[in-house]
Amino acid sequence: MFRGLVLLAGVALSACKGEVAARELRVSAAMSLKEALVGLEPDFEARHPGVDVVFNFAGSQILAGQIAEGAPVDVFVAADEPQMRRAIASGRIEAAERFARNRLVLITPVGDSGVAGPGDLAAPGLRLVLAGPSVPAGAYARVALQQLGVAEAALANLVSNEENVRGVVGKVSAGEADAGIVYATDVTPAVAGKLRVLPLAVDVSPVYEAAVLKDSPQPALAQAFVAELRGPGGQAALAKHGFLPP
Amino acid sequence: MSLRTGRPGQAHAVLGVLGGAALVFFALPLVALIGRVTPAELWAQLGAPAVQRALWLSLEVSLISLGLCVVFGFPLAFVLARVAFPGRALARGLVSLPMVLPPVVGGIALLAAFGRRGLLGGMLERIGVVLPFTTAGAVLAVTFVAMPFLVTTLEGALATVDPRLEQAAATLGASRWRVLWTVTLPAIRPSMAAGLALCWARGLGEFGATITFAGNFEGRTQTMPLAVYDALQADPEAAITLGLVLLAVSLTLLMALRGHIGRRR
Amino acid sequence: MSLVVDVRVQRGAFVLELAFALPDGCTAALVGPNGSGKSTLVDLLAGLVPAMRGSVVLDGRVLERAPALRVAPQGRGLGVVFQGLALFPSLTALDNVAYGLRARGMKRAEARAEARAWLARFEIEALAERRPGELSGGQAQRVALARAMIVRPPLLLLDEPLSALDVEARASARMMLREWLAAAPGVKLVVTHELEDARAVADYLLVLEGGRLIAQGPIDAVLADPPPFLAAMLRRAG
Repeated sequence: MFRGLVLLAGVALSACKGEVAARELRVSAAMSLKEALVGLEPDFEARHPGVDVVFNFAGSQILAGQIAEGAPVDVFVAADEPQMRRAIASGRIEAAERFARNRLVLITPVGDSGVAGPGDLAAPGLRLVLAGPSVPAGAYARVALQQLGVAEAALANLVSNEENVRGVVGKVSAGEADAGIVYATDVTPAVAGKLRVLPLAVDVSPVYEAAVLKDSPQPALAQAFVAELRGPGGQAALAKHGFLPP
Repeated sequence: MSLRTGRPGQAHAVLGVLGGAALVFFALPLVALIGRVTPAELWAQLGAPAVQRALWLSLEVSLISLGLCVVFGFPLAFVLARVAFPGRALARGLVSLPMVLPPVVGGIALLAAFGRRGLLGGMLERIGVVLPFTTAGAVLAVTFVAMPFLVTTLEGALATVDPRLEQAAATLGASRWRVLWTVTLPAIRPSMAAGLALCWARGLGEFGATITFAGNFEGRTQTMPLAVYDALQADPEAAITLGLVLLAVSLTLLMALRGHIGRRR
Repeated sequence: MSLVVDVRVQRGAFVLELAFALPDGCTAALVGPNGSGKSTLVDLLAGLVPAMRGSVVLDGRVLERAPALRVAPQGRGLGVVFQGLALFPSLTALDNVAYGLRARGMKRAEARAEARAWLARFEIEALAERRPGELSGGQAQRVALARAMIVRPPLLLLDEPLSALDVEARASARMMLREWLAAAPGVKLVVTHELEDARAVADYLLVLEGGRLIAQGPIDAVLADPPPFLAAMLRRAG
C-alpha cells in the first residue's frame, strides 16, 4: 500500500509536468504475480522499445481500492473475481480477461512443526496465519477450509490476518506461525528451503484476470501487455513460476 | 516580542504568512475528513462492536505501554542525563534509534529478538511466554517505538535543571528521594507533560511495528490504526469514519493530559 | 572553638588550601577577589565538594576527614544561602521556608506555622503564598535567608547575600542582616566581595586570594594592617 501511495505521488508529480517520462506503462498487479511479471518485463520492453513497465504490487483489494479512488493506472491484474468486479464497478474498466490460474497449498516451517495435513489445523494451540478475508488469497483459503471440513476449528487457531499473501509466507518461513495457506506459486526459490509444502485436495480455483483501464493514455500499449499475458510468451513465463493455464 | 531591527511590519507579515500556511496544511486534511462523514455515520461506527473492541484495545495497549515507558524510561533518562558512564554517547544513540527506524523495521527487529526463533524466543517459550500475535506483543511493539520520545524529552529537561536547586535541597536535609520528588520532578513538569503526551500519542498511532510483530487480529492485536487500515481495504468510507473516531479520542485525551499536568497547580 | 577547618581542596586546576577556626556565635566575613576560591570554600563546607587532605570539624563533630570520612550534605545540618538563592520555583515562599523542617520529618501544619513566624520576623508574611518568580530581589533574599535559618544550623553560610540588591536597598539591608545574624546562634560565615558588607555585619574577617588565606583575624585588626589588594579595596570604598 505504501509503495502504491509513493507510486501515486510520483506519477501525479510527473503528470503535472504534462507528459510521462520515457513512456511508462503502469501496471497494478496482485502480489502473488510478482516474480512472474518481473520475469516477463525484459521481453516486453525489448519488443516495445522506449517503454518502461512500472509495477505496483500489493494485495488485489488494495489495488482495487486505489483504482476506485482514481489512481492513474494503465493495466489492472487481479487475483480474484470479486476484486476485479469492484474495479469494474468503479466505471474505469469495461471488461477483464482471464489469463492464469493458481493452486492453494498448505505451508509449515521446515523441521518438526507437528503439521502433517489439513486435519492438524484443528489441533489446539496451533498458530495459523492467513491473508485477511478481503484479500483474494484469504478468501480462497477460507473456502478451502470449509471444503476440508475444518473451518471452525482452524479459524479458532487463527492468530493474524495478513494484508497480502506474502505476509503469510513471511510469518511461516520465519517460524512465527505453525501453518499458513498460500498459493503454490508463493513458494519461491527464496523461501522454499524454509518451508514444507503440503498439497490441498480442494476444489478452489484462484483465477487471475487482467484488464485495461478505460482512461489509460496509452490504450494500445496496455492492450498489448494484456495480450502478452495471454500469448505464448507470457504463458510460458507464468508456467515457469508455477501458474496454471486459464 | 517585537522585532526591533529593520521594518517590524514586514517581518511580522512574513512570519504570519508562512505560519498561517503551515496551520492550513495541518487543518486541511482534518477538515476534509470531517466533511466526508455525517454525525449519524460517526455515531453508528462508534457503536459497532468491532470498532469498540479496537478502541478499547488501543486504549489498553497504549496506556499500559505508557506506564512501562514511565517506569523504565524515567530512570533511563535520569542515568543518561546525570551519570557520565563510558559509552554514554552510544547508549543515547541506541535509545534514539527507534525514532528514526521505519516502524516495520522495528517490528522485524523485535521478531529477531523476541520471536519464537529469535534471540530470546526459545528461552521465553520455555517459561511459557509467547509474545508475537499477543496483546502483550502489541504492548511491546508500542513501547519500543514510543519510549524514546519520553526518554529524550526527559533527558533534555533533566540536563537543564539548575543543579543548585538540588544542592540547596540536600543541604536542607532532604534525602535523594525527597529531592527527586519535591525539587527535580516539579522543575521538569512542563517537559514531562510534553514528553508523556508525545509518547502516548505515538503509541496510540503505532502501526508498522505492531502489525509486523504482533500481527493483525481483532480483539487481541488489532488496534485502531490496524482497524482503519483493514477497513481501508474493504470499505474506504468506513475507514474515514474510523480515522475520525481515533482522531477525536486522541485529541480529547491529549488536551486533557497536557492541561492537567502541564499547568502549574 | 566551634568551626575548625584545615583543608586542601582541588577543583580542576584550582587549589584551595587554608586553615582557620571560628568561635561559636561569631559572624565572619570572607572577602577576596573573583576566582580566589570563596564559592569553593562554601561548597566544601556544605559537603558538595570533597577535600583532598585535611578535616572539617563543627562543634566537635567531624564533618570531614579526608580521604575516608565525609558526611553527606543531607547530614551536616547546615544552613546555606547560595549565590542565586536557589529558591524552589514550584513551591510558595511559605513552603520554601518550611522545606528544611519538612525534610526533618516535621508535620506539614507545624512546619508551615513555624515558617510563617519566620516570614513575619523578616517582615514578609504577606508574601507567604507567592512563588519565587513573583518576588523582588530583596524579598527573595529574605525568603532564602529564612529558609536557611529556620533549621537553627550550627553553621550558617551566606554566599553574596546582598548581591541582588541595588545600592540604596543595600544599605538598609546591611543593617537588618546584621541584626538577624547577631540574633542567630552558631557560626555565621558571610562571603562577599563588598567590604562595606563585611564591615557592617562581621566581627571576624578572612581574606582569601589565589586559594590561600592571606589574612585572618578580628575585623578591626585586619583592616588596620591590610594586605595589598585589601588596601586597594579600602581606598576604593573610601
